[in-house]
Amino acid sequence: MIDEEQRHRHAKRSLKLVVVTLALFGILVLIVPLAAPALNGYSFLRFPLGLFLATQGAVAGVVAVIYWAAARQDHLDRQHGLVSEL
Amino acid sequence: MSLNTSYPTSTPRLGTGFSIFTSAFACLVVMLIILEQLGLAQDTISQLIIALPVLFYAAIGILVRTTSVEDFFISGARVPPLYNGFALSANLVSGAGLLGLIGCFFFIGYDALPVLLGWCAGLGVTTILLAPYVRKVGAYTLPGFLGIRFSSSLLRLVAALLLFPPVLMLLAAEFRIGQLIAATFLNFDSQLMLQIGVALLTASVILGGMRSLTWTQCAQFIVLLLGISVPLIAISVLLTNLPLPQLSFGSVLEETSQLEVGRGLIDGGVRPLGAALPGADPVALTRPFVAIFQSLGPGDFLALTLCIMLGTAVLPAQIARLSTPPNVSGVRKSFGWAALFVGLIVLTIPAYAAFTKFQVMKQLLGVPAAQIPDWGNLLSQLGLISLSANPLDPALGDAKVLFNRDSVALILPILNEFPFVMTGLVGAAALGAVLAAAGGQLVSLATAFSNDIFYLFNRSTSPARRLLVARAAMIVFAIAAYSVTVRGDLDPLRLMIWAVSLCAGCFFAPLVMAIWWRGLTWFGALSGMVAGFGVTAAYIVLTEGGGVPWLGIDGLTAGVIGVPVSIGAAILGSTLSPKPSSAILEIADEMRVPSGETIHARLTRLAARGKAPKP
Repeated sequence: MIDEEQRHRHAKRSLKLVVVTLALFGILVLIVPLAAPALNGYSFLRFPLGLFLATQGAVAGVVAVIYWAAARQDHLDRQHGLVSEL
Repeated sequence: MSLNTSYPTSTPRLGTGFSIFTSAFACLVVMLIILEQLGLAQDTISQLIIALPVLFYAAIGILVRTTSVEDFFISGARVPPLYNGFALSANLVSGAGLLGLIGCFFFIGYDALPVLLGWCAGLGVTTILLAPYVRKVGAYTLPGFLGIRFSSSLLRLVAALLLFPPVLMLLAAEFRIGQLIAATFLNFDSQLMLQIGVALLTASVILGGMRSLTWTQCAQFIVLLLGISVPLIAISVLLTNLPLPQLSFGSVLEETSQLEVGRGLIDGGVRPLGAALPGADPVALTRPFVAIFQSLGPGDFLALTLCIMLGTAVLPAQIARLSTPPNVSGVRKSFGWAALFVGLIVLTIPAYAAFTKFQVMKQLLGVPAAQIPDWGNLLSQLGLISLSANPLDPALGDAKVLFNRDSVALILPILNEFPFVMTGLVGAAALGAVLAAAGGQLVSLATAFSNDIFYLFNRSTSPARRLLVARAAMIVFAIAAYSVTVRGDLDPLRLMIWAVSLCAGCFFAPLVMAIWWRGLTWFGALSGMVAGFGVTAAYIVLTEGGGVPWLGIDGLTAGVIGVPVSIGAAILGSTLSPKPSSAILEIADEMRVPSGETIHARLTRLAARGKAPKP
């Protein structure tokens, strides 16, 4: 059995991870598309930069964040002895 | 603590099985291409490429039939993450989403992006905010989760009842797209084709429930991915010499923009979301691709992204997928895979639309009707476009071309004069997506009915009877969605967005608060759910009935109003009702520990010894 203290710290660190992840999602899917018109003056791979960042960059970013967050949470679980075998 | 790190898979040769399926499908396509060159009639080709995969899905579904409750409702909790990821992404992308969004990008370009971003972010929100905790509870359905978390049968019943309308709407949207594909490719009565399709779909999931669904969705996802990428990659190589359409469509966009200026496609001014989002009726192409916030305003753009994101995160079919992998880590991995696959399709959709638009601008618009090659006739014969000569000057004036949003995707291979099989391939991909999503919705409806309504009142019933009720429910729900589909003149994409809005308004707040706030009581969750659903539904009905939108929020994004109302009602309900009992707080705490057995399993074990009610 895991002690109360350990559980508490695990919950706190998980919450922190959730906040960071949600903030990253917010930046990627809400801020980047809004900033696109400002960036469209530049071009990248012959795309207007803003359009490229919003249609391709944001999506790739979200996928990367999901992987990072999942790996990080797995790591947290293991660190606190909560091996995720059900 | 268990030290078992290997996944118990349902069959050790899963990879082999799906590789064989993929090669068989590739062989079918290649063989049809050869036969087409030898003069096989176009009708026969379409029938073969559309019907054979569908029969194959039904065969898979029937082969993996089961009589075990665990297998039927959660696929035995032993689906390897990769395959769960396949199933999740096929379910999320859906036929209405795939065809509808390719069409939207074709018409309004950049401004069609919110739904795509919402899908990706929604998957992320589920992974991080809900997945481990819902999995730990281990219920079969979303209402089942709420029922265990608050030990409340009433809450479970109400959640099940509120789940039906949005999920039925999603199902009807898929049927509509299925009917459209059948009407395009099969020269029979489209009503009859729809009936046969619904019957085959029901047959494929009725014997094995979630287990059949998992493996058919995997096969459908493979067809979906192959079907939209093969023609697109071929075109990308032809036009840009690069086999990566997602990265190479920049140069195509440049040329498209020049053509757009030449053809007089300029910004038509920002309109409210409901008017800006292309409808299902044939319309002319009027807006440029690269214009940002020229069709939707930034406000509508954000509202739609948020709405889709919050709704996607709690889609009932997706929550049910949290119980199918073997453990919490497996759940996270499967969402990682799903994000990768959905991301790939999300990157492909704008590229597909951009290539289509480029070809249309170059070869079809601004050309007199008489000078359009043979494929112009083929396109109008199939009902993909409607072509009429300029009434003022039929010989020289530009022809008038109208496009159907949901069949834009099918135009691309024909414009490039590819073998007709390629068009059939895109059709098969879309039909795969339709069946995957429709099957997912059908199973979640039936599971909710059997587990959260029937079983709730008949706890002592036998497993065989639970499955029988679920199977009967599948037939009833399929018929219900069918009758909705044939009745109204419904726009599948709008239906889908409304349904996702309803899910967001109804389930997002109660579900997230049930996990992250110990103080939430069953009454709070109930009020949050009912108020959220009520307000979202009322707002949709009012704005659709001609009411003036409040603060400019469109009916499609009603979830943006529903979620805050739902949060408020949940907090209010919790303060008004007695504090949660220590037994419920214990469940709330236990849920946060991602190890050990699921709460559902523990309750079942206790119930077997007569120490707790059956979950």
